Amino acid sequence: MNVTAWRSVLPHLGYDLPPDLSPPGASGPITAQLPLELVRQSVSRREWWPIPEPVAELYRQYRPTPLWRATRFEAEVGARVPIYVKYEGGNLSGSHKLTTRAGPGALLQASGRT
Amino acid sequence: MDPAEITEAEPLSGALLKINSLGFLGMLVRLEDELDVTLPDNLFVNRTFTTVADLVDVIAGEIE
Repeated sequence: MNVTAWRSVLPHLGYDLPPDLSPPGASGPITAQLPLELVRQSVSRREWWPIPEPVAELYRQYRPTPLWRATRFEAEVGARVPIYVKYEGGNLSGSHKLTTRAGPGALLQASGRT
Repeated sequence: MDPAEITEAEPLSGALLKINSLGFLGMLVRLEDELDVTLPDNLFVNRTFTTVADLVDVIAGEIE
């Protein structure tokens, strides 16, 4: 199965995230190091986001990996969003880090950062 | 806060606005929605923003 989109949990929260606050006394010029697309995905209430092709190509090298919905855990913690558990120990690096960093890395590269 | 009280010379990260880099980017995304535009991802590479005018200039340059 080819995965073509990431799913955001934000539309399921039922409330807006609080504003990000600066430490007391902070001042000075602002520089923007994050790509806007990553911020869009982090603050927007849109549910589905297309996966960049370089990331999808990477995923195809080791996916699918086992994924199941933790329905009993959801009930225990009173979850307002579906909670899934995914085993990522069988990928290229043997860790979830490859999967979780590939997306932001691709977005950083696409925004002109190296 | 009344927007009319904010001048273009107001520091973005100062006593009044207290905007940090993440809040700044979140504000840009909201501006995209308000203005129905998509700002390029590389618009902010190697740039710094000190005052409201800096932000106005870069947004105005993109929507003109």
